Amino acid sequence: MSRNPDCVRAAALFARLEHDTAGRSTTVAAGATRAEPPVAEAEIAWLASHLDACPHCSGEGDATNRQILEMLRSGAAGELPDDAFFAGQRRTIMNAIAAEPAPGARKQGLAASGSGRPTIRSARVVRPPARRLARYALPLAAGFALLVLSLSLRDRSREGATPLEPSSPSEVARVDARKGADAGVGAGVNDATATSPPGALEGAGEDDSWLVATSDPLEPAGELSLDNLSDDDLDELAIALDAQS
Amino acid sequence: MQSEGPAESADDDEIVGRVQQGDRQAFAVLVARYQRMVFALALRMTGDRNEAEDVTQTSFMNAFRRLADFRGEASFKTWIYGIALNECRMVHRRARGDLPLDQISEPPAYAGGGHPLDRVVLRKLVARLPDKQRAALTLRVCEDLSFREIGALIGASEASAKVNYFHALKRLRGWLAAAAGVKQPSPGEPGPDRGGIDP
Repeated sequence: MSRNPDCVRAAALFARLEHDTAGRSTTVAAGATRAEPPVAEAEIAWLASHLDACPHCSGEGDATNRQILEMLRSGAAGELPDDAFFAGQRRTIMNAIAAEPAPGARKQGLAASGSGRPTIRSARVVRPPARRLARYALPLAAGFALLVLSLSLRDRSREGATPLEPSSPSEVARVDARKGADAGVGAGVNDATATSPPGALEGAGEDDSWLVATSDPLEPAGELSLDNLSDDDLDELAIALDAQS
Repeated sequence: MQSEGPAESADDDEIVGRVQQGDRQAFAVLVARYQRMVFALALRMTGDRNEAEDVTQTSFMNAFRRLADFRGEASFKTWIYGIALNECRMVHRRARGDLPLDQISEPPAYAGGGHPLDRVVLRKLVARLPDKQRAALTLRVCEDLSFREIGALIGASEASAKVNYFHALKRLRGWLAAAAGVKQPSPGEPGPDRGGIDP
């Protein structure tokens, strides 16, 4: 190594540059403190001028350097494909370009549409208002109506409202049978309802017992399931509740 | 708009003007004029022929798309080189880590001085240089650009371009020496791909 102070300085700067470039991905990332400041532009300028003037630091006389440069210069020329390859590639490029808008057309089109650059929004499918209403608003409204109906039914049952009468003889028979079954199944099971008829809804009168929870495990106790009711049944329920209120 | 005459003899600025006015066939002249240079640059930068082919095609496609922005402040050659360098950087980032340096130990032809120097090995080593050093070395040696032009292309000063060039050579010498067992890399010796000088 040269003892020339400038060459020593140049070697030190190269070492700091190594440290800088290595530090970007390792030392600095790990949060370690840097021992030396990064190489400044003025130091880079000094190093560049020194490399111009110093054959030792520039490696001008180095045999390996010369071989590297010579091989780099001659390398690619021997590795380039033949003319047929480039002709084919040129056709490929021009075919692809034929499908492109003319230069500037894209920009003009975007400027005309009030947008500087293409965005996802510009490609969004916009649905007509009527279709959006049918898709979202109507199901939401129906769901909300069912919710209100369900809540009002629960409130009425808790306030001891007059039960709805069974509408047919067969239903009367089925309710009677269920009453008997509930009396046996629910007896003594729930202390909270011990003063009520077994299985009866809390706060409901004796006649309300047909609205009570059944012993059917699929139906939650204390609630009337609306899942199995048809739209007509729900309409009738709503009309009846409106009339009573 | 059709070209009004043969474009082969026209200069780059004139051809660019024709393409900007809608004569897209005139672009074929620019492709033919710079295709080999872009391919050679991409081959040296990526070290892979297939990637060089992709880079060349993508570079010209991008050049066509951006031609409306070309103002002629730099030459078309410098401009297309810049686009190609960007593409090479993207390809290089995707491929980074594919080839650890210690795998470049295939039997090389030994040059004078005991250093292994083989075209394939050298190409792989160059491909492992940080972006700016690789670009500075390639553009200087193979394209004979000035350090000022190189600096403009890699987004650095002229001095920084020069230092990157010499730094690249220094690293290559160090790696080759280490591979030949002449000198073990010091703890501060760089691994590949850690970026270039960016003061």
